[in-house]
Amino acid sequence: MTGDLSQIASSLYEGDEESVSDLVQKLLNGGAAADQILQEGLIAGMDRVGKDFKDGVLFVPEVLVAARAMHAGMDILRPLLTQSSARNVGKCVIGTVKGDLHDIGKNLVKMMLEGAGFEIIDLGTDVDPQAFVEAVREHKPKLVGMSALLTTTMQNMKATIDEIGEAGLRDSTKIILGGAPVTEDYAMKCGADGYASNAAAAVDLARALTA
Amino acid sequence: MNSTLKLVDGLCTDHEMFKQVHVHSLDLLENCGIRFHSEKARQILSDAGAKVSGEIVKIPGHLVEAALKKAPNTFSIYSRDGKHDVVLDGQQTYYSQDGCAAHTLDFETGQRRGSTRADIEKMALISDSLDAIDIITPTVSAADTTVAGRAIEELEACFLNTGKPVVTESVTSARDARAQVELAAAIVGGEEALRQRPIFFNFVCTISPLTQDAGGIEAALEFAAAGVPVGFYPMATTGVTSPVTLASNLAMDNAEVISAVTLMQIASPGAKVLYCGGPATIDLRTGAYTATSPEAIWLRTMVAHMSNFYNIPSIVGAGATSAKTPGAQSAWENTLSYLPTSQAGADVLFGAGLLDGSNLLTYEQIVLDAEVAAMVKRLLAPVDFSPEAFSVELMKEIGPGGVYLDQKHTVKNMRKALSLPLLSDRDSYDEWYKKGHVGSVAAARAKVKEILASHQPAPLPDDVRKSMRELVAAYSK
Repeated sequence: MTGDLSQIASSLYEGDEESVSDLVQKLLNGGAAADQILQEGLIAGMDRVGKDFKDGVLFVPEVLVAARAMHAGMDILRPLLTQSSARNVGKCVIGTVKGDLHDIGKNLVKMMLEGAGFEIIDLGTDVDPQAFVEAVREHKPKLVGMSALLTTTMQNMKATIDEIGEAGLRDSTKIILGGAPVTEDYAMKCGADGYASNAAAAVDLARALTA
Repeated sequence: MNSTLKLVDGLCTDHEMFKQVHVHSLDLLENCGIRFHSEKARQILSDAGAKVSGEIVKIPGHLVEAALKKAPNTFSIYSRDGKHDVVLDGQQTYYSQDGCAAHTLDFETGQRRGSTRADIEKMALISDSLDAIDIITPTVSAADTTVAGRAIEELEACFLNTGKPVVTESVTSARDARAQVELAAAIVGGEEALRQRPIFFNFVCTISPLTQDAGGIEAALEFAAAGVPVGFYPMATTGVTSPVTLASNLAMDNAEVISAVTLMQIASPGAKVLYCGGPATIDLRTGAYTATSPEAIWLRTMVAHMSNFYNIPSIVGAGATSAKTPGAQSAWENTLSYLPTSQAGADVLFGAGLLDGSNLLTYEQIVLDAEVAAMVKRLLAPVDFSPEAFSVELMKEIGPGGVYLDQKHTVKNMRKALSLPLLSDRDSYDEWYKKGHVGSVAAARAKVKEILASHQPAPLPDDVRKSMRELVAAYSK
């Protein structure tokens, strides 16, 4: 079993979804505990990925592919995990604000947050303030992320935060902003909880705000 | 046929490889399609025979080929001062300021702040003074203006401070395009005069992969209808918005450009269009957009080659160093970017003056970039190779061991044969030290101060200024 657990970690590191799923299922069939598979297989693998990424051995695409393999394993384990070990860090509603169709940055943040264990509700682009409000009401996320590329659409970040406030939902969630024209200063003026200048920093910020 | 393409191979404009790019692009257009967010654009293409399903438009090859034949091969952009017209005929490369950043490093305080209209004005003035910069653009976003009036204010800021041609980007609605057309018309004496001699042009960014912005495309239709030349500028980024292989990026960029050119030629046959692109790579360690990696420079050089392949004037993204300060990195990255793209015959290089991947303005950088631009222009300019230039009789006369420094021939020919630098220091060590051992960035800074203190652009009559202000007020509501 130890061999299989370390093989899960290796397969995850390699981004081999099929191998991860097969091995997870095999161990479960053999009577292994879901929590142990999670800790010593999946999380062990993802931790090595994280370390090697920070050390410049692995690149962003490899991290994302490994995260997908992790999710494949998680999908099988999730129903069987005890409450405390279920690695659901929280829900995050994300979108590009009204009037803006650009989403590369938002999509990168989404992928990396998913890799970090967040469950993402992606509202897409050109998202009305009211749509953000409805999503917060419905999904009760720990985090809301907004993106804008244009200086002409940035103002909809403040509009959205204001409407979330008017709906009585501001204190229920943390709001973070990003995008080329956005700054820390601007985010604070809008009443956001934080700003990140790239996707990796967004993950660190998200973790810090939802801890 | 080769399965690799080297930069030097591309110098032959007839290269088989460019046909391959074209063929793959047609495949994408016919069998994958482009998302046009604009219903108006979808209708135009549908009426012409494209297959529309939802927002996806599949364009048959014959529509594209017909459109490419209608696009004019050469045209000029005029300058309101009459002395700086640019001729886009593939025979020389013009340098435009870069755009459009949202942050400025304040010239006085050194603090990073949001960009303003005043930044656009000052940069237009600086570029108006620099010989090597041919075209001005709103180099940053005028974030301190109203959203409604931003596009027209940005153009006004340029026209007030330069007599040179202007190119705009970030025009994201037909209304804003109309505003810019009316503003320029007020300067040249009407929209018909503007159509005959446009004093500005525009380009629209596509949204890779394979998507056209709604407002941007509708702005382009408006410009084309008014006779203002308009270009299409993909920035597909390898590994994020295109596959990571360079050839694929080229095919995608190309598909995006020719799909827009097709739309323009159907809506306004014979419309002046430009083939543009600023493709980029990512830094694999962070996902960061990189315009001056060797691969990005290769891609941009190929954009110039593809524009030659189609024989359409081009705007090629260049410069946009990732450096955060003017200095060594900004110098090597921008220089390596300007050279091959110029050699490939780009009509306009966009551009000069911004740092941090076109996200940050410092007033000094354009002076440094202008120096490189001047050197590259000079390097690629024709050299006198006439019998007179060989001066063999003179060499026989002076003979072995003679000197040419005090010859009348030298006096007569020296100003044409040799150029002088804007900024590059060539003093002896001791002279340089005595003068204050100033570095190139400090020298650039001094030049900026000098220009801002003393340079005047070509004047604009009061009645024209008044009309412009009235238009700005009307569009700012």
